Amino acid sequence: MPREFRIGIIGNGNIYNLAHRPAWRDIESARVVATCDVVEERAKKASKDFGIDRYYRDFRDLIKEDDIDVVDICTPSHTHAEISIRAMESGKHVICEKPIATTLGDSKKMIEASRRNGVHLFIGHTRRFDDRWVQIKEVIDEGRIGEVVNVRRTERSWAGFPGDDWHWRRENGGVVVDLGVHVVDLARWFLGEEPVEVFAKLKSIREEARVYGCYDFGVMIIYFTGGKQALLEVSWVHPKAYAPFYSSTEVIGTKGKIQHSDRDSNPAFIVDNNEVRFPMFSPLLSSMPYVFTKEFSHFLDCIENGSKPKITMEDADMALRVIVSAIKSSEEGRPVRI
Amino acid sequence: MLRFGIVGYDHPHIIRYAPTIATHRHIRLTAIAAIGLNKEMAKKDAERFGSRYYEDLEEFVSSEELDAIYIATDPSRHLEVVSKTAPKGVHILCDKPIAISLKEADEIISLAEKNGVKLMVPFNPPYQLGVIRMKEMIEKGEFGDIYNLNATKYGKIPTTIKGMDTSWFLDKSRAGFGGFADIGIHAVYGLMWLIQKPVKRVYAKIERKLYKEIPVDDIGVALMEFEGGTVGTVSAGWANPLGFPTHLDATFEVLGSKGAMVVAKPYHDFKVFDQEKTESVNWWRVDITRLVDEFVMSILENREPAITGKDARDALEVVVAAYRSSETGTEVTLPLTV
Repeated sequence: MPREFRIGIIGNGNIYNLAHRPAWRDIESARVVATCDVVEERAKKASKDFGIDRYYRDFRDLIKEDDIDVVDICTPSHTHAEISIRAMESGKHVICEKPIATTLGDSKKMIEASRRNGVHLFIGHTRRFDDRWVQIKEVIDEGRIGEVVNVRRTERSWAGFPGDDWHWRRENGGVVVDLGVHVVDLARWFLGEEPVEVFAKLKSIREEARVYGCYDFGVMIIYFTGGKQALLEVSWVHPKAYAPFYSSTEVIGTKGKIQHSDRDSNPAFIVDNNEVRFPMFSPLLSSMPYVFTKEFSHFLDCIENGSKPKITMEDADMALRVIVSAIKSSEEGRPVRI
Repeated sequence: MLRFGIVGYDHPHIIRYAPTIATHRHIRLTAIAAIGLNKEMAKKDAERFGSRYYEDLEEFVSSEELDAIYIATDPSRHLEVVSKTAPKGVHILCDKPIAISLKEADEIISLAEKNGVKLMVPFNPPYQLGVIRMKEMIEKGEFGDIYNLNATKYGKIPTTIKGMDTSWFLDKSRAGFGGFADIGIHAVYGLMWLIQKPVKRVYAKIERKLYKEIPVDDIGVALMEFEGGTVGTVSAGWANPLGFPTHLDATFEVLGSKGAMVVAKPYHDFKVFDQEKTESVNWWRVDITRLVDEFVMSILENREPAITGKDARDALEVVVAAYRSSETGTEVTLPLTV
């Protein structure tokens, strides 16, 4: 009988409702014992999702509780550092949504807090648990396409967040941080090398992005050790109807290449008298919901066995490091060393 | 009927161009001059098409009275051929790149101007159906303001083309550049043609990564900024493994304020399945037929061809700038000083 982990969830908004709630309900070894949101109604409603009546408005009250092993953080990106560091200081393991943080100073403090307190800090880079990318990585590791030298990856969407949502706020970095850490981590994972230099062109296109000063579109070239490279694009600007074509991936190796695009591999499409439509599992979610279940289960296994996670806090920090450099590159109009 | 000659059997484009030219309704393929490699192949074609056969450029020029030629030598000889033929009033369809340097490109253009002959360089994108549609929609404003244009274009390394000696592709003194330029110049021209604006800045990484034993680059990525701020990317090279179902593949993408469009298959193909494998066969290459037709009609109607020497020079300039960026590790501003 494996141990039962007691989970407290901080932040009961978008990603909680779309992904974390169903995932935690799927995991037998986890029991959600408390929820927390600055909006009390949301915290209360979330607690009902798990048939409990224990919810908080202030995260400090949740992390004080002795009967909580793991804190799951689903709050706006710029708050990850403060909440996770305090949780770790209270001896809790932390599962935190990506990005790890929005500044390198914050991510460094988070990593230090994890080491100092002897607790895990897991960052939810879901791409590493998605069967599509896991299987591509397996084909790469089998050596079937030789040595991988070039990765092109695009993640495109029409961000559906309301105009006043925190995603648009400059301090959260816009799409360049939000999806940027995903594409950077994926490229680094596939190439198996470390980023050396980045050159980026970023734009603020939609009104929400212009008003709040965030970037909602960006392309970048990253040069890696071993003379490898990646051409990456992230967008919150693609029209709504484009959203089912969310990602495309091209991995070029010395003996072959791998191509994947949601456009070519969508499992179904619908034709009526007006149009052809591709069904989407969720307009706001870029991973299949099962991915979160896999990810959380893996993190709990790592706690149980003291093993190293498939995505470490250092990996997440590196993804952010590249993105911070990309922003600098775009703003200064020159390539930036990482 | 135009009296037409072919000079050079070095470029593998000859495989499709020779029969296209020979069967054109307004052309009589009078003479073939194999002044470089693949003489046997040229001789066979001369027999097949009932053309006179030469191996010496001087003899070809002095013996033949021609209206037009198609040049398929290696690009280092384009200037030599133009300097001997243009003064005789021969119109010129010169394969790409127009030359191996901007200086030679300028000389070729001025030779054509001075002698009042048409000069056209065949780039495929303007004659591929999906890309034509994209251009029409951009012109009509159906995408609104254009934020981003992307092109990918890959081919198999040309030295694997069966039945031809294409070794010059691996000799920089004859080819001018390596795989990125060979394949990517079509993509670069395609984007410039789509947006009809000059490129202001280029950043690129172009290296030999795939074929360790060759002396030239085989893959590259470039990030360009067009006048007005549109961001363009090109990923191109000899990145199609030998097992790839077709020699070439390409994509074109546009993102604007009103919509987005993807041309996923500018080269149309059909698939043949047997008990061992699946084979893709390119349809009739309508783009090549139309390119030859455009050149012929520009002569018959006495007007500028759709793709001029200047256009080809502009595309070459962006490619030269991309190589310069890759060598210096900086973003390069255009126009270049020759």
